[in-house]
Amino acid sequence: MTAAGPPGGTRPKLRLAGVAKEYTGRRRGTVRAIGGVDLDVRPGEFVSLVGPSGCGKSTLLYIIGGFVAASGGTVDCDGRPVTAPGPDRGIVFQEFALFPWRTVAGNVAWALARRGVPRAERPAATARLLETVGLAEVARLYPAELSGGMKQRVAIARTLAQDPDVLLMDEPFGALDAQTRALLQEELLAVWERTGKTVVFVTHSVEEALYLSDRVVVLSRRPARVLEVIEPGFARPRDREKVLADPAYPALHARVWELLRAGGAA
Amino acid sequence: MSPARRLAVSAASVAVLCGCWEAAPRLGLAPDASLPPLSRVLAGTAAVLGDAAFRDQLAVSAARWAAGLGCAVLAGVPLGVAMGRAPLLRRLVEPLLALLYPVPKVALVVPLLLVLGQRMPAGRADETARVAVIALGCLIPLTVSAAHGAAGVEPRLLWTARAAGAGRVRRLAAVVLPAALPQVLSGLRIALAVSLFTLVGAELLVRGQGVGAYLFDAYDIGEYTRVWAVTVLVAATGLVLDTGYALAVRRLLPWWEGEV
Ligand SMILES: Nc1ncnc2c1ncn2[C@@H]1O[C@H](COP(=O)(O)OP(=O)(O)OP(=O)(O)O)[C@@H](O)[C@H]1O
Ligand SMILES: [Mg+2]
Repeated sequence: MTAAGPPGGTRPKLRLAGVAKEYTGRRRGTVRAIGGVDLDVRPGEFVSLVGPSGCGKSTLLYIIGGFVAASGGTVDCDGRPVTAPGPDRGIVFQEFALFPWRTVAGNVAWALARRGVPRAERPAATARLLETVGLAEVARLYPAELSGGMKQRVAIARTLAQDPDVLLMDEPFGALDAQTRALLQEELLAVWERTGKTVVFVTHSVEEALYLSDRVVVLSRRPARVLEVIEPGFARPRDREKVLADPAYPALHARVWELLRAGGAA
Repeated sequence: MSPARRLAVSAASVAVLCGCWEAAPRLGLAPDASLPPLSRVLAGTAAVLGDAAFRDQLAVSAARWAAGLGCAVLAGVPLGVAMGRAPLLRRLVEPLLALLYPVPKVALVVPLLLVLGQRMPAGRADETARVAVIALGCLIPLTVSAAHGAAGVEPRLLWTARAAGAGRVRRLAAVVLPAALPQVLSGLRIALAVSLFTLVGAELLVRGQGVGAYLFDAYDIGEYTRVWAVTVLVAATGLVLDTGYALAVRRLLPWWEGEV
């Protein structure tokens, strides 16, 4: 099944056409991670990817980021083929990938410096970003001294510091407790609404995907294909209670679960 | 374990060794008079340290040691980092290092002298050969660990830097080098030990000046206590260097949780 394209024919921010990926490993031989994904993402759209563990979601983000080359198909960003990483696409890795030799503030300030923020403005900008993710008190600690959830938030702040057009987020709230998670979801929505960034968001939580997204892309088991694209359509700005209480919510939730469970036994 | 306890445990093993050394000659368990009890050796060590002639030799050795180790660091670390990032270079150089690895570097001093002797006056050839042997000995641990460190940089760190807009040079300076630093420093720790024994070894083989030569002179005239005194001094220098180095690294890398 093909993903829905953008209505009206405005140029998509991202266009994935027939994206496929095979890994050739030393022990497992060839592994087909992605089996041909078509997807258009509008500028400023919030799209979630859900799918079974190991189906190729991280790989798909790496391909959009330009870190890994697809073995088939193309990715265009603003109409230009993606061939390498660029500052227009920022990523929050599932594994955080913080610089262990820089403090929390150092990690964020480094991304600001790469963007050309003058040295004098960096401390204040760093403090603001750390405030956003609720980490002001640990600015001087090293990553090794943080919990998993804190590392994840530093990674988010660092990517926000890069100020990319497209935010690629790989289960960014996976390691957080329910409260922090809710808080950061709201914060992310606020940033998104304020800045008009395009977000591609990988999650295991169906609830999270429905609450945050314009569209939820349900992927099959490996090799990943698009099973179905679901549009929650809840009013913006979103309110968690209202979303959960929306009469349409249970059916949407059930539908995504049904797809995930069936898994597109290909 | 608390730091004090750790220190106590380590000190205990040294203390047992010292006790045996003191007791064996006194109980007649030592083969002959060539092994004096430790207390006499330590007194000899104090005497050696007070000897102006020894201090001159020590200065010569220290300069040699610094030159040899310095050359190895300057050549080995950049070479290793380059090997870690360029697989082709690694494939080219690795077999050469593997060939050099099992050769006792001190033994190379003889062929080196043969070659160098053809082109320079004898004194300079001796000196160059000794320094070269120290450098060669230290080169392998430095190069190999730098290569491992540089090759093992987590790719996502480099991706992050690239997405943030860092170019090649900056990625090398701001990601590859700091990421490889712990391994480079642990290679240097091995090189420190290697440098000491190659230094003394080269000085024993190619005699001229230096601590090794001083040691051999004592042996020639049958002053065995002095031989042991200098040996103890070399061992103690190694221990102090190694311990001091480990402490310095811990301060230098506050973010590093592992061992160096
Ligand atoms: N570098 C690699 N070499 C070989 N196989 C790989 C590599 N990276 C991923 N794979 C394989 O590709 C498949 C997809 O991996 P990927 O990490 O993209 O899954 P995922 O959907 O993100 O999983 P999760 O939800 O658990 O994070 C897996 O079967 C994995 O084993
Ligand atoms: Mg993943």
